[in-house]
This record gives sequence, C-alpha cells and structure tokens, in this order.
Amino acid sequence: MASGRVKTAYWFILPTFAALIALKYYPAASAVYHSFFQWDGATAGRFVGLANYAQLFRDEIIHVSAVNVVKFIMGRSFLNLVFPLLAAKLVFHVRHQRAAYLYRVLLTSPIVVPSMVLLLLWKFIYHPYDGLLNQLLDAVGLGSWRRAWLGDFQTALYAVIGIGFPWVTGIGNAGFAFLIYLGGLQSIPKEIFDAAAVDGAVSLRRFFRVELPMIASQLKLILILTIINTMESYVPVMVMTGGGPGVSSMVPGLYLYESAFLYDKFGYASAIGVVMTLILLVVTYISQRSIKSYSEAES
Amino acid sequence: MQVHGLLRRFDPHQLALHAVLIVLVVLSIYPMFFTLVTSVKDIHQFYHSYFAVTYPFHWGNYGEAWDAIGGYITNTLVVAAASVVIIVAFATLAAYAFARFSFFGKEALFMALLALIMIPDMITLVPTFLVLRDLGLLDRLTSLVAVYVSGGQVVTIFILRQFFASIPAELIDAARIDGASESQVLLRVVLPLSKSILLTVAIMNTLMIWNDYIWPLVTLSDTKLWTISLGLVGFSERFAGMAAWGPLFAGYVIASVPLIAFISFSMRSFISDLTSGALKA
Amino acid sequence: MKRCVAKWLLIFLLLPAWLLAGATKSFAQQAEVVIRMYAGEYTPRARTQSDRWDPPSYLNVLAAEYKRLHPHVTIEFLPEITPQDRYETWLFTQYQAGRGPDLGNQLFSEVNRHYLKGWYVNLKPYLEQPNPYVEGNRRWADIFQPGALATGVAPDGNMYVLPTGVVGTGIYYNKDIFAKAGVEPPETWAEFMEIQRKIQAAGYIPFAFPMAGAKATTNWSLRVIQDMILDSKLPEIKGTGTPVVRTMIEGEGISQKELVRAIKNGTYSAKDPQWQEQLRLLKEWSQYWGPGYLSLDPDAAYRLFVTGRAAMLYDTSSRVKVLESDSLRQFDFGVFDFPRITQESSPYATGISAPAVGGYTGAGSFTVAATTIDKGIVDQVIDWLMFITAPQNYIPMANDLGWYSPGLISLEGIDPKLEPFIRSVENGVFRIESFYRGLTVEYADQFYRVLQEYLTGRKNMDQATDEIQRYMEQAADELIERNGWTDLLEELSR
Repeated sequence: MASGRVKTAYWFILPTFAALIALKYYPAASAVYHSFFQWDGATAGRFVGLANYAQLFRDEIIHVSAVNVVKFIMGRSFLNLVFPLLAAKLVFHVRHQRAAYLYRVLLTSPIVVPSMVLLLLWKFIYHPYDGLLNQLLDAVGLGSWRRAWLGDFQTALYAVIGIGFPWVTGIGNAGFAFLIYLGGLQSIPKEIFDAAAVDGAVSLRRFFRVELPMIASQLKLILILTIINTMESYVPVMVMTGGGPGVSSMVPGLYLYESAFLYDKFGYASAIGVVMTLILLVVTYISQRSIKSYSEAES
Repeated sequence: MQVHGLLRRFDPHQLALHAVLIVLVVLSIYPMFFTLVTSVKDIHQFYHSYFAVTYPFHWGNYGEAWDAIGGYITNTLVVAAASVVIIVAFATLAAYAFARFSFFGKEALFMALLALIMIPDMITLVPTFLVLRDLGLLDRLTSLVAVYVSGGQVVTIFILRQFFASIPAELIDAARIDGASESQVLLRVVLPLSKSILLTVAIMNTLMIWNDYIWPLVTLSDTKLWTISLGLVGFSERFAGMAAWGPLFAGYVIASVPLIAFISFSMRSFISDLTSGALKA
Repeated sequence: MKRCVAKWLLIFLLLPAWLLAGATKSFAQQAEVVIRMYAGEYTPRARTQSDRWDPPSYLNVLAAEYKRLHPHVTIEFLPEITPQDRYETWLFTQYQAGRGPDLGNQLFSEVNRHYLKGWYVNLKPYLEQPNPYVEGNRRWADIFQPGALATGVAPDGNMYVLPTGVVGTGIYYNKDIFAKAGVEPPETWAEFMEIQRKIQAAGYIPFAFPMAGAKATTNWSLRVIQDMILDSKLPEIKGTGTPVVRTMIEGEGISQKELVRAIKNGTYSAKDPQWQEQLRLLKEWSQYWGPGYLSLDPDAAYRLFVTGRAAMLYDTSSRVKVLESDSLRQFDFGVFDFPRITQESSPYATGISAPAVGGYTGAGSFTVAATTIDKGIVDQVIDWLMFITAPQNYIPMANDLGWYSPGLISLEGIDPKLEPFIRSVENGVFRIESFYRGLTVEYADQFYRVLQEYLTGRKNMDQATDEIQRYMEQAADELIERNGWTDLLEELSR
C-alpha cells in the first residue's frame, strides 16, 4: 500500500539523518555562521557582516585559485573517466578466469598505499636532478625537455594534476572508479552483447554505441564525485608545491586551509568554504537533473 | 600454470589484452614496490638513493614498526569494522528509499544530503571537534566511529542509490506480489543482487578510515586508544626534522596487509557475481 | 550504663579513626599528582635499530630523581608528535578541549600568537621566586640568559613561555669540493660570490638552497642580509635615533610595534633603494643555486649536499650528528659563518659582520597550561620546571640530545661540539625581523611568493616592491587593529 510504503521510506532514511544532524549539519551551520565573523578559532569573534565575502571577491589569490581549480577539475575528470574505464574494459574481456581475478586484485590493491606515500613518490619522480621523469627524458633523447617540474611556474599545476600515471588506481578516486566501471560493465545484460554481435558491430563502434550508454550512470557518478573531491582538495598541492612557485599552483582548498590554520582567519576561511559549496551545489544540481531522468524507477 | 593456459589459446586478441594489462599492472604496482624497497632502507641509504634497491636490507625496520603500531591494529580494526558496518547499513536503507520510493520532500531531502559532501572538511573540523567535546565523546573510540559514520554516509548513499535504481522493476514487483514487506524485499531480493557494489563501498569506506590521521590525532589523547596512523606519527620527524623513512614505510606495509586481504577476499565475490547469472533475467 | 559507655567508647574510637581515614584519604588524594609533559625533541625514548646514534633519554633520569624527592608526583611524557603542522593542529585542539599538556613545549612566536586565548599561565610572578634546586638562588629568573627572558615576553608584557632552547646555524661546506675548485671559506660577500663562481665552473652546484617546503633557508638569509644592509638605517627605523645593538635575542633591536610604526611613517619601505638591496643581493646569489631550486625542499637540498653534488648547505646545529653518523658520505665537511657584506658589494654596506641566526627557538621552550590552576597542580608543575632548568640538570639533558644549548648563564660542562653555534649566537643575533615572525604569517607568505616571482624574473624590482609594499601596509594595519595600538594611530596622525 502506497502510504505504508511512504511511512517505511521515512523510517529508512531516519538513521542516516539522525547520524548527520549532530556531526554534519550542526557544524556546517556553525561554519556558515562564522563566515560572517572575524574569528580566530578560539575566542569569540567580531561580527563583520559580509566583509569576508567582499574581500573574497577582491582577493587576487582567489582569482588565481579559481582558474587553477577549474583546470584541476577538468584534468582529473578526464583522467578518471578514461583510464580506469580502459582498464576495466580490458579486464572485462579477459577470458581466463584465474587471470581476470589476478588482474582485478592487482589493479585494486594499490589503493591501500597511503596517499602520502604516493605524493612523496611523485615528488621524487619530478625531482629536478635525480627525478625519474628527467632521467627518462634523458634516456630517450629528450633531454632538452628537462625541467624542475614542480618548481616551474608553467608546469607546477599540471605536474600536480598528472600524478598517478597510469591513472588506473591510486590518487583521486581512480581505484574506485575502476571497480565501479567494472561492476557496471558486468551488469550489462548478456543479450545486449549478443545482439550487437549479430548486428555485426565491431568492438570500437559497439563500445561507443552500446556499452557506453549502458554505463553512463556510472560515468556520471564518478564525474560528480571527482568534481566534488577535486574542488576541495588541498593535500596534494600542499605536499607537492605548497601552492607555488609564486601562486601558480594555488587552489581554493589550500588557501582555505592556510587562512584558517596559518593566518588565524577562520571566518574568512568559512566564507571561502561557503562560496565553494554554493558553486558545487549549482553545478551538481544541474547534472543531478539529468541523472534523475536517466535511472530512476517509480515504485 | 596460467601461462601455459594462455599460450595454448594462441588468440592474438587475448595476447594483446594480456600484454597491455601486464604493462598497466606493473606501472600501477610500482608505488607498492617503492614502499617495499624503502621499508628496508636506513636513513642514510635513503638519502643517497631514492629509487634504487640498496643493500644491506634492514629487516629490523619491520620489528621497529611493529613495536610502534602492533598494539594499535586492534583499535583500528574495531573502529573500521564498526564504522563500515553501520555506514553500509544506514546507507543501504536510505539509498533504497531514495531509489525506489516516492515520498514527500524526496528531492529536497536528497539535495540536502548531497550538499553535505560539498562542504569542505576544513571549515567544519573545529566546529565538529567542539561538538564531540561537548558531547563528552573525546578519548573514546566511539567518537571516531561517530565521525566516520557521518562522514561516509553521503557518498555511500549516492553510489548505492544509483545501483538500486537500476535493478529491474520486475524482480521487485514479483517479490511484492508474493506478499513480502519492504524490508523483506530489501533483504531477500535486493541485497543478494548488490553484493559487489556493497563490497565496493565497504572497501571505499574502510580505506578512508584506515589511513585517516586527523580525527584520531585530535580526539584521542589516551595512547591506549590510538590507531595505526597515530602510531606512525613518531617516525615523521625522528632525526632533526628528517623522517625515519625505513620504519615508517615498514609501518605502511604492515598496515596495508589486512586491507589487501580484505580486497582479495571481496574480489572473489565479484567473480561469483559474474557467473551466478543473477542479473541475467 | 555499660552499654552507654560502650557506645560512647566506640564513638570515641571510631571518630578519630574516621577522621584519620578522611585525612589519609585527602592526603592520598593530594599525594597522587600526575604531570603530563610534552617535551618535544627531549622526549625520552629507547634506542631502536634504525637509530644511528643514541636517542635522548635523560628526562627519564630526571623524572626518576624527581620522584625520589617527591614520591607523590609522577611525570608522564606524552609521545612526540611530528611534523610541525600536525603538532600544531593537535596542540590547538588539545588546548581547545582543555586538555593541553600541563607542561608544554611550544615556539615562543606561536605562544605569543595564541596567548589571548587564555591557554597559558603567566610565568612572570613565578620567575620572581627562588629556585630551591639552584644553590644560593634568590630569583629563578636570574639563572637564565636575559635573551631567553626577553624573547618570551608577550605583547601584553607578561610571559607565557620560557624559551630556553638556543639554536645556532652555520654554512656547512664540502671540503673536498672546495679543494677541487681551489677555494677557501669566504670572509666577505664578494669572496662568497667568487668562490661559488669557481665551484660552478668546476661542475658542482655551489649552494643547495631550498625554496620549497619549509622556508628556513630563505628566512635566515634574508634576516642576515637585511641586518647588514639596513645597519646604517636601523636607528632611524627604531625611531629613537639611538644605536641598535646586537644581542642574543632575535629581532630585539626593533620591536614589532616599532616596525609597524616605521612602515606607517615610511622609514621602512619596500620602495626604499636601501631596502631593495636585499632583494638585489639575493638575486645575485640565486644564480649559484642550481636549476630547479624552486622545487627543492630541505630534504632534497640535504640530499644534494650529502651525495656530494652541492658544495654548501645552510643548516642548524642539529645536522652535525646526522652528517657525522653517515658512513656513506664520502667527503669531509666543515662549517663557516655567513660572510660579511662590504662596500665592494653594496654602497650601503657598513662592513659590520653578519649576525647569527638562531636564538631561543630550540626545544626547551616551556609553557604551563592554564588548566593546571583548575586542577590544583600549578605549583607542582612550576616546581618540576624549576628542577629541570637547574643547570646541573639541564646541561646534561642538553648534551644528551646534542642539538640545542640551554639558555642558561652558567654553561659549565656543555658539549664542546655545540660551542661554535653558541659562540655565533653570543656574538649577536639579527636585530630586525620582518619575515617569518616579524609581522604576520600571511605577510610572510605573500612576500615569499612575490620574492619567487622576482628571483625568476617574472616581476621586476618595481613591480615586486610595489606589491610587497602593499602587503606590508596591510599587515601593519592588521597588527594595529589586532593589538589595539590606538596610541600609535594617534601618534601617526599628528
């Protein structure tokens, strides 16, 4: 009965929301509240109305960070959509069961490596003198391309975006993306494959016409998660470049962290956070509408 | 054994596939190899050579790492297990509701949920910490579980909802016609179909919790309650600002063993899903 | 009758017993005092197989000795938390929750940033009392170098931290490379540039200068250069016209308030050619830092030095032990002082020797948490602190660690290897601090970024200094507001 189901629905979502109220909604409200103050994190703050927001829009560092984070998001989205999918498709087509299992484990296990290790490793790879990358370039005769990847105004940001080659697992959501795409491919009903074979669709065309649409919802999921994670991300930039050289690789997440914990400007940091959240809400709302129409089932 | 099997096939497509996959695997595994190689270096070997394997191997690093974190593995296991079970339980219920029911305020509630992951963690760190303090939860593993449960909910719900929404309606209707209540539908029909996705989110959450150091750092001052990530803290700047790299990396290796075990165990379910034919209606 | 007597007898006997029990109980309660101490680098630990020399353990000796004297007190050492940013996050939240270490260890600049939050006990009154563990001592403050006491003073005049750990720096150099290039440790800046030119010609990186990660090397270099370059102008900047003498207190010459005044009235300005000399000299030096110095962090710089590819490294006294224990190192090393700037290199030079960089920033920077007052143990904690800082206890502890010298007047028995570093600090530390600790952390970051753009030629001197001047003025305004220096504003508007 419909109303019975409605009641059940509310019961089902109750535990989640109960858990979230104290430890998520309340602190979030507190953060928004403090964005209207000048607050050092410990003593009572001074109410300044919209001053933090006004300063935010005038802040040059915010402007640079905003541009950088867009590049960052675009870069990581591309990487997370293409490479884990490539790997998932390859593994999907392996006929030997034991081998497939082995590949699955081997391609998933690297996610247990703590992200700090990965960041350190890539710092060494980009090292100007003994870094693997420069040594590799020398070895293949491209020695003129040698540079201090993380210390060059032009390349610092891109170097950070590009960590984790071959981008199948590890940094960002790549590892989970792999699992989710794999799950998605596995859930495509067999008939569709058979039908496509009958139609004579060759693998590449079949991929784009048939498989891709079937896993579109997984792709959208990873896209949204990547956008959200990358928007707030600050640890990779903090560890690799600190936002430098100059401000060439500064991102809003890092600037937020610095404002709060280094400059004692928790209020300003909260304001940055609020603006970031609002932007994400808008972006996600737009893409949510399309997901909703795609995969929802009415009860 | 497997190699024989492969060669016998002689299928060029499959061989090419394996070739590419092997390259990808080697490149992806490299960070783990690097961790292993570094874990047996002493501080001077490390500074003289980042990448190369150096001799002698200092196996003692593992002993030292174990001393530092061995006692904390239980704590981490308990926190992770409790948190993941609760996260998945709550999230399954909520995701199922959002996916397959319609009720007043569904859209708005879902957006409200989604909005939470868009809020940067940094600005809620101090307020959340103060809430924990006011609730008297500091210095208890419960506080960690509480934080992780609230932290992992939304993404998990997001992922599960999508999956639940794609289950063919016939299966569910069939169960309902049979007179099953909603919870029974969930338990008997939906869950068995969702093994792989449930394992995926379990892995995801376990990972986020296992290596997290921020929350244990600020909430646990009683060292008996420490987690692995805190146990490793002492290695970070051991020698005049330089880390004790060897024992630190040995610690990472030890810490990742349970995780790898978990992953290879759950990978088996992925395979069984494929062969069970459950989704091939 | 007998029952009555019995009853009263019982009461008479029980009453004192009960009172005694109560008294014993409160005595027992008073007896159990646990002092939670965060000792930073002095945190004692056992040697492990990855250690290349014995780690510090002397505090265990001191704690045991103290227990012998005061059986009811137990000292609990909190585990050391590194790296710095994690430590600070942890400490911040601990104080927030009212659980900061009873006896803490924190950089004086950090304490003086947070003192308004009410986390610390004002130590000034206690310093006036006699230290029972030092023979003949009337006033605890007397055993410390005046520099230690002055460094610990907060803007409000109280003392919330007792910074007693003295650290020194020097330029480590590779003797083998120097021999190959045919050069000697330089005395003047001009010689310094010349030897680096020769070393570079010989195929080595002259100076491993890390500009990524921790900003130590940049800060030190600028402080030293700035002190020498502005030497003739310091009295004017100070505002009193009196000569500014070098002492053991970093930045003592010019206080933060005086610096802010100088910024507001233009005596200290990025548009001043004399001020700009520091940038020019740094840029001149930067050609010898090798390519990629912008992505070099202290670890990587150390690596270049220890693998024999860079000839020099600017570092603290704590690096000696590491280098000495490195059996893979294939060269001899020495340490020399920062060279002097002479007229040969800059028209503004007065020829004064380079100031030391160092001061009271090592471990041994003690704070007492305000929560000890509520817990009723503040006197005990102070007593323990008095015990540790007594020279006969502190000096062996410092020798045990081998990185810092205690800021005590009596340094009898100090390890001779620490001598050169102490000596340089005794000769006088830099007098004006505008970078790392001088103004605001935000200014330091902003300055640093523009500096990088200037050094790499992306901004010229004019553009860079325009921007720096702007940030400087913003920082000055912020500090006036934060500290409530309305008197300064009045003075400036006159």
